[in-house]
Parts: sequence; C-alpha cells; structure tokens
Amino acid sequence: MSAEKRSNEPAGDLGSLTDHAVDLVGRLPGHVNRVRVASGGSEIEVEWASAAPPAAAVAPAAPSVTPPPAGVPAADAAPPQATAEAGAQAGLVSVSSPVVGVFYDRPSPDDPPFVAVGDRVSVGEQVAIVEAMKLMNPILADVAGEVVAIRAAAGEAVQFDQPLIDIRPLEG
Amino acid sequence: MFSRVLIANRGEIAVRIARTCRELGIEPVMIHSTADAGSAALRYAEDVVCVGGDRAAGSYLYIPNVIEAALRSGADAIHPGYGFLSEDPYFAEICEDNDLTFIGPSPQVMEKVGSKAVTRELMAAAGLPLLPGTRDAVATVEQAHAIAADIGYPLVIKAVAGGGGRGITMVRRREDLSDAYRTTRATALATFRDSNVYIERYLDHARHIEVQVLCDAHGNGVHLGERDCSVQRRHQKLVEEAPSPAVGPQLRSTLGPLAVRGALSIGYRGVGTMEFLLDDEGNAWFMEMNGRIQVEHPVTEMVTGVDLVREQILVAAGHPLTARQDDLTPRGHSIECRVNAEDPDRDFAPTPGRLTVFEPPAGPWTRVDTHCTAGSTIPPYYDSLIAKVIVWAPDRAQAIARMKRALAEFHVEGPGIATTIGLHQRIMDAPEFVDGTVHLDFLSTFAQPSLPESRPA
Repeated sequence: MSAEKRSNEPAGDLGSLTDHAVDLVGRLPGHVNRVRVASGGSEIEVEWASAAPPAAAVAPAAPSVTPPPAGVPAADAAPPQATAEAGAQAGLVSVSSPVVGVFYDRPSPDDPPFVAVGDRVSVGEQVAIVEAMKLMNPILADVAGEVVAIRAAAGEAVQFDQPLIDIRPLEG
Repeated sequence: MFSRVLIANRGEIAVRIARTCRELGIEPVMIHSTADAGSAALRYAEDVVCVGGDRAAGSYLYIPNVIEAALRSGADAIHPGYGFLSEDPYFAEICEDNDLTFIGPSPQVMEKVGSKAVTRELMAAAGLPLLPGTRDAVATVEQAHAIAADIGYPLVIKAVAGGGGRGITMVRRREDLSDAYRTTRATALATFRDSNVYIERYLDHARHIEVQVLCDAHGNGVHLGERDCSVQRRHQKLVEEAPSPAVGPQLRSTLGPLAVRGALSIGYRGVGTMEFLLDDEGNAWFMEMNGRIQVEHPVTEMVTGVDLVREQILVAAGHPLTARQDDLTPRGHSIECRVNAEDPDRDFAPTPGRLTVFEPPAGPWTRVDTHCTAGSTIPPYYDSLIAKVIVWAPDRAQAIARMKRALAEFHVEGPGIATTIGLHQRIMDAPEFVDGTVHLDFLSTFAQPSLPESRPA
C-alpha cells in the first residue's frame, strides 16, 4: 500500500529533505519499506511492507558470493521480506530487542505510548515492551537523549537485536 | 501435514532439513545467531528469525527465543536437527506446552534415552546383550573398585548424561582407577551438570556398529541396516559407511530386529540409532541409544533409498510407517567423509575464517551436504563441520574409488583455512581401510606423514 501527498510549497535543500524523510519514517505507523521525498513541486510517497505473514525481518544480505556450483540456489530464493536495516544513522543509538517476541509501544491498549518522537528520555527510562513467553519484558533506554524514530509497530513480531527505538544522545 | 516447520539448528543439517521440507510442501523457517546472519543456509528458508548473539547459549540453545520464533513465524512444528536442543526433554516438553509438535520422541522417552544407565537397564530387559558393567550409577570410589574387581580391566568410566564422545575415561590399571573416577565425575558435572557415572568393561580392538531404526506412533518399527563408524578421533566420527564390512547377512538379521525391539520396548517414536561394539568374535554389545537424526544418516539413505528426514516428519505428523522390513535390505555401498575446517598438522586446531574458494565435488552418485559456498564465513563459535561428502557405488571397492575421485575434486581455500580433505584421502588409501579391517584404534595409530619426527635428546 502507498500514499502520496503533493504540495505547492517549495521544499528545502537536500539536508532538509533527508531530515523530512527520517522524520517521516519515525512517525509513520507500521513497517516502512520505502520513502520518496521529492523537491520541485513537492511530493511525498510512502510504501509499507506487505501485510503478509507476521514474520520477523530478514537477516542482512550475505556477503557477495560467486555463483555457487550445483546445489546452492540463486539469490532470488532468498526470503521475500522487508529489510530491517542494522544500525541507525550516524549519531543515533538504537535500542534493540534483547529477545524474540512481540513489540508494544504502550503498557496496555488503553494507555498512551511510553514515548513519542521528539520526547526526551533518561537512561533506564522504559520506552517499550517486548512480550515473550507471556512475559512483558520492559525495554529501557540505554542512553539519555531525544527519541528520533520508533521503528516497530505495536503487535509486530520482532527478533533478537532488531532496532526498536532510535535515540539521538544528549551532548556531554 | 505441517504447513511450516521451524528448524532449530544451523549449518549443513539446517539445509538438509529445509530441502526435505520443501519436497513435502512445508515452508521451512530458520533461526540464526548474529554470527550466522550471513550464512548461505538461510537462503533455503522461507522465513528467518535472529534468536540471539554469537554464543550458542544465548541463541540456538536459548529456549524462550527459539519458542517465540516458532510462535511468531507461524510454525506448527520444530525440527531440532542434531546436537543443540535435539536431546533436551525440557525443550520437547515446552514445545508441547506451546502446541508445537517436536519432531522426535516424547519428552518422557527422551529422558530415558538420555540416561546411559537407564537405557542399559531397559535394553538388558529387552534382551540386548550388554558388556559387563554397572546398571546403576557408581556412587563411591570404593564401589568403583569393587565393580572393577568383578568385571576386570581395561574398563571405561562414562558420564551417565554424556554424549558426543565427552565424559569418557579409559582405565587400564587398578592404580589409576581412583583418580580417573574422581576426574570423570568432575568433568561430567562441569560438562553435563550431572556428575553421575557408570562403569563398563572396555573392549580393545572393537568396531563401532550402529543400527538405524525407525518407529511410528502406532507401535510399528523397522530397521534400515547398520553403519560402521570405526574411524574416530577422540570419540568423534570422521568416516562412516554402510553396510559394515564386518557385518554379514546373518548378524544383520539378528542385530536389526534386536535394535527394533529395544526401541519399541521404550515407546520410541521417530528415527533413532542403537550403538553397538563389535568384538573380533563377532559378538555385538549394546552401548547406547541416540534419539535424534545423526550426522552420518546419509549413508543409510544412499543404500536404502529412504529419506530419513522425510520419515521423521511423517511420523511426527501421525502417519503410520509405509516402509516394510522386506523392502529395506541395503543395496550397494556408501561412504561418508566429514570435512571439517581443522588443521590435522596442528592437532586438528579449528580454522574459522572466510572461504575464498569452495568447490565441492559432484558427479555420479556423489552427494555433498553443506551450507558453505565461496564467500562464506566459518564462525569460531560452533563445530567445524563444513561439508559431508557421501558416495554410493555397487560395491565397496568402487565406493572407495568414487570417494577418492570426489575428494580430489574438492577445493577449499581461504586465509588461514585448513581442512581434513587431505586426511580423508590418506584414509581412503590406508591398507586397513581398503581391507575393511578398521577398528576404533585405527586413527590414533594412523601415521601422519607431515608430522616432524621427534628424536631422543
């Protein structure tokens, strides 16, 4: 599924576009596959991962390999899923999942989320839950700083080390 | 039939299981540690889940993550492969609790099979011949001496919860028994969290013969003949073959049904292996049972035409056996060589690292089970098996010629990488191997031409 938004306002320079793109990805619900932010004539396009099996993200691609001899399949046999990019952008710290389980952004469906993009968090502050084996594992911020992106959606299956919340650490 | 199976393993066996899953129309899900994130094995999966860090304890062995991975990926069943959680009754029970079918025996049967002392007792009751030794764990060093006086030397002290060739101490002289007893108990505690040991007479110059059995959940069982795994280094198998050059039709027709009877008597379900020691008088003595698919299963597949992983999955899905004993006579001869990334010239030190060249053999009746490809990285955290080369031929001499041809085609290179391919080539040429007279002491006395000669000072 995708959405487009057009505007007549002139967009800024490349750096500003990048900021917009990162901001978008952080604010949008669901697992975003691709974002397109144009400039002249303005344009925003978002593509989400398909809604198919609640499978966890695929591992980063194998290192480049020569075509193997008989027996090993070609690269197009790789699992067809959304990629979860490993580390965050430079300067950001990702709080990643310590377990395999289900991500929740709030204590219960009726509560507000633990954090939103733009919030300041302190070290050790709870930012999410990953439920595993009926246990609600609290996810705590490793660093103090500003929440820049929430990279998983409530109810999404997450795997070990999957980035959940991106934080820009405070200076000093 | 299951729609998705989670493979709780890695490396070549994960690929092996995934392939049969595909043939059955089952989607395979694979788990992996962070160290295996780039493994070519993952390409064979429909879905992959990272379950933990590099160390197996935090990933492949970390049950909560493995179970969650199965639940979140929609798997109906879990195939544990070999090693890792394949013989963990606690894991099998947790699978049941979470409505996941564990492809293997029940937790209760697993507990029995996992205790060497208990299996000895049960198999003796089923009529299998046992070497003189204890049925119960040996509680004190005084008891150990009393038993030794009864059964004689040489004897072996074995961890009750042991496996993979660890927790075994051979004792030749009475003077060494007390120390050996204490050391083995300490090792057993450290390695298996169970310090119990039992004592058994040790056979010099025996052969390792194991019988493959297959049982369903409806009380049916068959055997698929034996394998000879006498080429071992420190209790680790290097070369296996089927059938055994030392087992004739008469012994096979005795040993096979005995193995099946033993398995059925404890309510076994799935594929399993009964291990025996064969002495030079042609007597077979029951050693232990393995309740999982084994590394060397391909040689049995080659001589019987049966896909053992397929049979495992069908049995776990509740199907009765379709194979009849009469159809399972082994035909021809098969040999397997385990290619490890180890340096035989440096006491088999593992050589992890990147493979720049990986060209496995192919051709007539030449099978290679591997997860590696050029560009693969061998992590340092797990075992060093990189490929199994398996051949089949109408007779043993042709099988040896075929294996030699295949090994010569196998090219593996990488910075710091060494393999046991050269060692296997020398084994294929060794007179004892060619004559089919290899016993368990073969490899320890096998000359290593590249070792420097030591001269007395």
